[in-house]
Amino acid sequence: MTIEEVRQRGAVVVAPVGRIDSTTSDRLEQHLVALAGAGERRVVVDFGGVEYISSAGLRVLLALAKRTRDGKGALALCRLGDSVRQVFDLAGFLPLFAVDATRDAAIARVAAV
Amino acid sequence: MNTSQTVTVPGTREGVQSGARALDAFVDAHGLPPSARWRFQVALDEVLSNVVRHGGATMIDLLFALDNDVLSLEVTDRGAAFDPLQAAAPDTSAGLDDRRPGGLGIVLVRTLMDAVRYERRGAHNHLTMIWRLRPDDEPAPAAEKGTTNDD
Repeated sequence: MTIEEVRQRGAVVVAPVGRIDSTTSDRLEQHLVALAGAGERRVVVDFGGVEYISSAGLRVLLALAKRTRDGKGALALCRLGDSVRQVFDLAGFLPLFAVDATRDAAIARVAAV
Repeated sequence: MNTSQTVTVPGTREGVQSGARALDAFVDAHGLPPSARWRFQVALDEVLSNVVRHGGATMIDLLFALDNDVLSLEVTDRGAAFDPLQAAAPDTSAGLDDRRPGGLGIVLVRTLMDAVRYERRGAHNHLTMIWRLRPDDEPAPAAEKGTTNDD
């Protein structure tokens, strides 16, 4: 997994590329914690390049959701592929997150908060 | 087609990566569909990390078997007896405040596979995951629609 990051309209877009599993999830967690530490409060996670996510990755996202809420930030996820969407659905994660089809929609969502 | 292959990996975090590579190699060698790859990768990641965390197993055997359109993966280790299927299932309908991260992995293993079986035989744990290959996964369930903007 690699992590791409861009800033757009006051939001930071984090795009992991590859597999989010027990081997790679720590790196994603460190990346997201560092963003929170740097005061980034509007975050989009773009799953367009993610092959699949395991429960280790779900743990990272759950922690991100709680941090975002506690820090009064805004978080949106976008471009969930079939495998990611099914894992989210089976874990009951879809109601916990704002999910958009496109990156633009996700950015607009967090920018409006 | 009827074929099988056994791969042994160490009971370490590196072994978890080796297991993922062995699964990729088996999927590639037999031209299996992407849905089989990700389902087994997600399930195997959970099972192997569990064994490494709980087990004290020095080596783990992975038996990949393809019997016509049924793919199975049996994970065998000599660690302490541990049946992950007996673990309490977390509440997957709880709101953010009540969500705990533990246990989600085994929920995925159960629901991503057609069948999962655990057996303690002698000094070994055997966990077998079974999935009948489909050309494509069924469409995602309707439950997701309320949270998606299709713009």
